[in-house]
Amino acid sequence: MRLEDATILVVDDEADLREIFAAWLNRNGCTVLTASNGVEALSILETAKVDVLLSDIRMPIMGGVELVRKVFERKLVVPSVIFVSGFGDVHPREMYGLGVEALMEKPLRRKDLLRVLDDSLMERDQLWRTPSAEPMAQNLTLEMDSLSAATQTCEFQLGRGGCCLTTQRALDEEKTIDLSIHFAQEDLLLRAQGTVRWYEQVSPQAGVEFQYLYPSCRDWVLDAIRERTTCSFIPGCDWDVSRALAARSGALQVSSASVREVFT
Amino acid sequence: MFRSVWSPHGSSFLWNPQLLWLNIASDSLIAVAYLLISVLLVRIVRGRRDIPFDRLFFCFAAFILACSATRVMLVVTLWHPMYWELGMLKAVTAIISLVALGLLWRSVPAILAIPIANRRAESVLENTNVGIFAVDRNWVFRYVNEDAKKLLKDRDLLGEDMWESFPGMTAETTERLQQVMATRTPAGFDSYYPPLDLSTHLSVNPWENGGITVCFSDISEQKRMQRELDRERVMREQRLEVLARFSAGIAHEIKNPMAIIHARASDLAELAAEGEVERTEIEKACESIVKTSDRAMQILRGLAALARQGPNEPMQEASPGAMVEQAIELVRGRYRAHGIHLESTVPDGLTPVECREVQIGQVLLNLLNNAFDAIDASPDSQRWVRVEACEGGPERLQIDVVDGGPALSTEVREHLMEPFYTTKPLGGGIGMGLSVSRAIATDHGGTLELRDCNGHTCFRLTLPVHAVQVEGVAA
Repeated sequence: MRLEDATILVVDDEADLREIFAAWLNRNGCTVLTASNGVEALSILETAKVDVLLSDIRMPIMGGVELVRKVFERKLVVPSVIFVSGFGDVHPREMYGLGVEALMEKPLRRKDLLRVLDDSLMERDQLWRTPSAEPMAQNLTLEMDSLSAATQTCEFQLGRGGCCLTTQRALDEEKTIDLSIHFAQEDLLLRAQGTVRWYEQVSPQAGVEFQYLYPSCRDWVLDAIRERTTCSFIPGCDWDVSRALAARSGALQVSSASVREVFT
Repeated sequence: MFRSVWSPHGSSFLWNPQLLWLNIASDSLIAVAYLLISVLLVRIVRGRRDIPFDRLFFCFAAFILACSATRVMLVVTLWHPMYWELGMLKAVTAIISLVALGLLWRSVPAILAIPIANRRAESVLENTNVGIFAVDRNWVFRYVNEDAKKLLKDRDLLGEDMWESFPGMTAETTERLQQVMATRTPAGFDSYYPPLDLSTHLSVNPWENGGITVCFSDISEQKRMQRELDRERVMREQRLEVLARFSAGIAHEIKNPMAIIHARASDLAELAAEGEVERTEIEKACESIVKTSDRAMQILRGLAALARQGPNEPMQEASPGAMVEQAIELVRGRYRAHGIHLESTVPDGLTPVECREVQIGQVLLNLLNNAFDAIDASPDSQRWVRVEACEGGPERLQIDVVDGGPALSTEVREHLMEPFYTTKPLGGGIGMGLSVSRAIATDHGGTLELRDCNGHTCFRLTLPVHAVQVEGVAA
């Protein structure tokens, strides 16, 4: 989809920022809707068709994380979600798991915002066609028994924008990776270039966002992603939405230990 | 050859049978006793290799043996006049006795020194500041030095059973002691004896006949100091945590205005680069930039006021109203942006309090931030916070911070003020810094308590109006 055809919902409690973002996007011919908090945004999402949700994280009444959680829970159709925040106070595993595909830091430039929006509106098929010119910072080769079993046991899961996988090898976060996973039973080989968005030693799991899929595996990976019902951008696998929800909303009632189990 | 010349010695006794037998019996007994004494002396020296002066002992044995032989010869001369042989035997005895005398003469100083050396070893053992005791293989005390008695509360332990004398020894100490007794391998370890509240370092070694020796020193003071240091470290970390959290909050407050200014300015620059910019566009952007920078400046002014005073400032009179107002000013923007109503009640004419204004400001700020987080974290909250100052008894100021957030569970209430306790999952949380706030209150001779106020959470800070000297850690 082209940017000018898209409908974008801008959610920010700062009226000035809302106004500027709207002006920028209007200038590119987008249809822009605005909301000053999560509750307003939800009511818009329930009635209007929105292609991109561009939201602040810290907002009164209902913040960005709570908003995407509600979107996730209610299975509302929002093709892509982008966070804009002055504060990195959301864990990547949770964020990507809830379907957010990018976090942009304030302050931001118009051209950076447009680039991210362009990428998010592009079909994955298109987006994953160009290999990186740079060599990958790390590589990982895994052998798994079966794709279906691995998906069920959370050893490996595909999301809209990447995958989560189980590996004992410590991976560097925010570094590029060349990934090669062979599923013996189906005899399928996943070969991709991407970026490690999170790595957790305890689980031990990593979330990888794809940037390029090798032609040999493109068809089956895209089919598998289309078949999936999840709206996770990168699945959090054993990351449990209900537990996290309980932990957050009952923040006063739980001690941090149980929550850290989930997030660290 | 001389036998024909001299008559036997018995003739001197006129062969009186009684006199003869008296001499024979006495000399024989003396000879036998001498012989046995010399044999025993040799045996002692042979058996105890560690006894010094063995040559002296051997010499004495030879001397006594010679005396024994002389006695035998005296009996013989009663019937046989072997006076030359007797004389020569006496001469030999004399020579040996002279040698013994010489050796003894030379050994006198060394012998005199023996008891002195033992006394020294004993006095060293009794003046070490280290408790030393030894138990035999049946765990019965065989030696206890004075320091051990003192450390173990002046008990006479000799001959007592160790386990009976010291019940309540920890399982770990018991096991380690038994291990040394069984394996005969020395061991050193720290131990705590609860009944006497005594922390010691033990050095346990195998001792003679299957027993063990135990040297121990009192390390209770070190342990206490270590605990004190740990406590201070925790407090320091907490203070840093509060600072980090405070900075993060301020950064967030400043970042939004910066984002607006940045967006407005970069937008203008972009538009200008593309072509003509409308006058109204420029006016609007600049107005927004000025308004937003004013907002950022206001936050910075609040910070500057905080930075003016350090934590070691002397106590000075401060107006309760001004302190509450300053703290509120720093969070007002955030509260308003999140739709949380903030109300303060400070009656006129409240007595000024002697305090470190900035520290009390920190406490209030911390309470306001916590209230904000509590309300923001729960969708069921009522969105209001009240700050109420009043006289809390004679010569005391009381400030309550009550929030409309959900009531705290009993578990949280119990632990909230403990160091490290936090309830918020990520990015800093509610309850953080409360222990530091409480330390500040205590430093001022005041209190910080968690109370229930009609089902709402209320933190009550009370301060004496006049400064009191309190020993404690300044936050």
